[in-house]
Order: sequence, then structure tokens, then C-alpha cells
Amino acid sequence: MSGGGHGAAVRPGERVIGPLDRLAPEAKLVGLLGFLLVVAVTPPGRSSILGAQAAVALSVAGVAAVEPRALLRRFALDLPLLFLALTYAVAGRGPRTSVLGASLSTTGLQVGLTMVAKATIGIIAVSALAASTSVSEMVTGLRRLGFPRWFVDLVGLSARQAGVLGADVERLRLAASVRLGGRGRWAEWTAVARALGVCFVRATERVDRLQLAAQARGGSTLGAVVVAGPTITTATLGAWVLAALPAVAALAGRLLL
Amino acid sequence: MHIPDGWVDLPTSAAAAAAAVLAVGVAGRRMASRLVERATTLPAVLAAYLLVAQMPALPLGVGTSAHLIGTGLATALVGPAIAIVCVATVVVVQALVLADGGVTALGLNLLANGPAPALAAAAVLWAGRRWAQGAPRRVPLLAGVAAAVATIVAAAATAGLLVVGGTDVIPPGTVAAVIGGAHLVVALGEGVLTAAVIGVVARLRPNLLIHATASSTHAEPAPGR
Repeated sequence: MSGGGHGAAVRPGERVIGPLDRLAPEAKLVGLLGFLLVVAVTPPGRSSILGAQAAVALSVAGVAAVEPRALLRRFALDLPLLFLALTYAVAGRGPRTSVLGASLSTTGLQVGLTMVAKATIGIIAVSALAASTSVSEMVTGLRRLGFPRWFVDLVGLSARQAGVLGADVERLRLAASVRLGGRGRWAEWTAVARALGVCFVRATERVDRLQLAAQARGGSTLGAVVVAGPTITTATLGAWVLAALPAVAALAGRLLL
Repeated sequence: MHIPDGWVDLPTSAAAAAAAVLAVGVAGRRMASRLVERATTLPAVLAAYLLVAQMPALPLGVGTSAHLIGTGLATALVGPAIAIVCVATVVVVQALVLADGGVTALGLNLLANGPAPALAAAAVLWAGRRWAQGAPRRVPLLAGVAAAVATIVAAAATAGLLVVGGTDVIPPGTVAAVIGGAHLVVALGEGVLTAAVIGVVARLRPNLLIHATASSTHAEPAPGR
């Protein structure tokens, strides 16, 4: 799955097949979790370790052919976190240093910067997974890892429906704002509210249509809604080892640096 | 705001994950007993709707923008049980596909954005059900208040988890004040937008809104029950 920001990632048919795409999804998911766990327990202020871990994440993202623009757009998610990190620096306890004329807490600054670094590494790592794994692969991986079937079905179906509803909302919003004419804040809010209200009504109609299609296929119970796509590779020992490499590299960085 | 990776320590994250699995499991069970037929399609489409509802960025002024969060809206539309399941779906998609919110922090974000605000919104809706009954104009208002309260509760839960599992380098009160203060504005926007959306739905299909004023978590009149 490629593409960026909120919802936009759910765009089928746009995919660069890289070496990471052929790895079994359950191995990739566990590998990602392992890597992020190692990153999470890195003590604050150890910038060389965090730098090495960021390099690991970036190289995996490179192998996964993550679009740089999509990555940059996702870094916008860091903005509120930066604000919070700044609070740590300003209001932190302990000895203070002067940075550009502002008095900041040394440990607060350290902790804040570490938190932003970890959040950024997380965004890069997840982008690598998302760019190399389709929704049905992701869902199959979660299923193989023991997530309950009903929940996994929900995730798969909703990720696909988000693309459809997203396009619908954009059209409705455009139509509403053209009719409202105004350019002010009020007009924009009204347009969004109208689009979302109409979209909800249409969504309930969509539920009925999907249900009808599911019944036509001969099942109305759980699990009959999401059909399996082309066979998705099961993890071999080699796949597990390969997927564990980023976590191992991150751990090696922790122990050596 | 979603908690990213590495902000909260692992014991707290693991405990939150266990609590989240429990809460979503209970909500899923309740949902399955209510939605006999559409137990996958309805929550899946609603979760997709919530994902989409977060997309349009709205100008707040001074260069900042906000977007809908949606737990309160979902609770007003379909009741807390289905809302919790839908929000859980949304949070998982956001963490694994959109890189919004940490993977190791999944349990924290599930807990802070699902059960906590959904139950708060449900409590507000329940408390105001008499006031809104038979007065269709009051339903959107009540839903708006519920959504605003839900947003504050979600922010408070996030701040609480950051304090419990975070560092002690900063006084807990400051974390709560910063996150809470920032979300007061967000909560106001959330309330206004939720009220407006519910108003539109009430105008178009009032029969879809029985849940906003119904006292129970019924999402549809279960056939044959």
C-alpha cells in the first residue's frame, strides 16, 4: 500500500513491488514490533544510538520504496508532539541551560528531543510496512498472529471502504462549498458538516448494499464478508530471520554505541 | 492526539493493551448480540466513515486547523458498544497503515480514544435523554455536548497515561494542563461540528437517530427479539 496522509493511503493499484513486498506479512508485523520495542527502551539522551536506529529505519524504508513525499507529509503528525516536547524542555525539573536566550531544563530538553526522535523513527518504520504490505496482506498477517477473525475482517473491510467514502466526502464537500459561495470559516465548517451528514446517510445505504452482496454470496454471518485474495506467503524460518534484522541491528546499536 | 512509540514505558503500554483487548472484546460481544445480521458490514462502514470524517482539515484561526475525532459522533449515531469497536478499527488502521500513533502504544491509544470517551459520551446522552425527548431540535445540541465531553475525556486519558507511564522530569499537573488546555479548543470545535452533522442527519433521516436519545445501546431494533 502506498500513498500518504489520512485515508489517502487506502488507494489500490498504486504499488511498487519491492523485495519487502514478498516477505510474509506476519513476519513483517512481528519484526516491526520488535524493532519499535528496542527503540522504545532506548534511554533518553543517547543520541548516537537513536541516530543508528533512525538509520536502520530509513534503510528499511528505502528498501520498501517509501515515497519521500508521503513520509514528509506524515512528519506533520510530529507537530503537536514537538509542542509537547517543548513543554518538557520549558517546564522540566532539574538543572537549566540557556538555549538561544531561553532558560530550559537540561533533562527536560533531553527527554523531549528523545521522544520526538522515537516518534519520528516510528513513523518511518510504519511507513516501510505500509508501503510494502497491502491491506489484505496486513489483515492476513494479523489473523495469523492470533487477532480474532471478526476484528480482522472489520479492519480489512473498513480500510477498503475508506477509499470509497473518502472520495464521496470530497465531492460532497466541494459541491456544498460551491453552493455556499462564501470563503469564510463559517462556510467551510458548514460545507464539511453537510458533506459528513449526507455521507453518513449514504454510508448506511452502503451497509445495506454490502449486506445484500454478502447474502448473495451465500453467507450473512461473520467472516463471510471479506474474501481472501490471492494466496499470501506464509512465513518460513528465513522470513522470520530476515524480518528480525532491523530489531537485531537496533539492539546491536544499543549494545555497541 | 495519538501517543507515539517510545513515550510511555512498556509495563504501562502492556497493561493498557490488556485492558483495551478486554474492553473491545466486551464491546464486540455486545455489538454481535445487537447486530445479528450486519455485524461486520455496519461497523466496518462506520469505521471507514470515521476515518474519512477525520480527513477534512478545518480552519480554527491563527494558522492552526483541526479535524473531527469522531468518538462522540459515533456514540451518538450507534451507541457506545459499536462506537468502541469502530474506533478500535480506526486506531489500528491509523497505527499500521497511516503511521499515526505508535505500534507499541496501540493499547494506550485504543483505551484513551475508544472506551473512555465513548462511555463518557454515552453518559452525557443518557443524562440528557429526557431533556431531548420529543424536542428534535435539542438532539443535535445534546450530541454536540456529548462529543465535546468525549474529547476532553480522551485528552485527559491520554495525559493520564503519559503521566503514569512517562518520565517524572515534568510535573504531572503541567502535562495535564498543556494537553487539556490545547484540547479545550478542539473540544469546542468537535462539539459544534458533531452538532452540525447530527443536525443534517436529523433533517434528512430522523429515523436513523433513535440512538442519540435512546437510553440503551440499541443500534437497530433487533429482528425477532
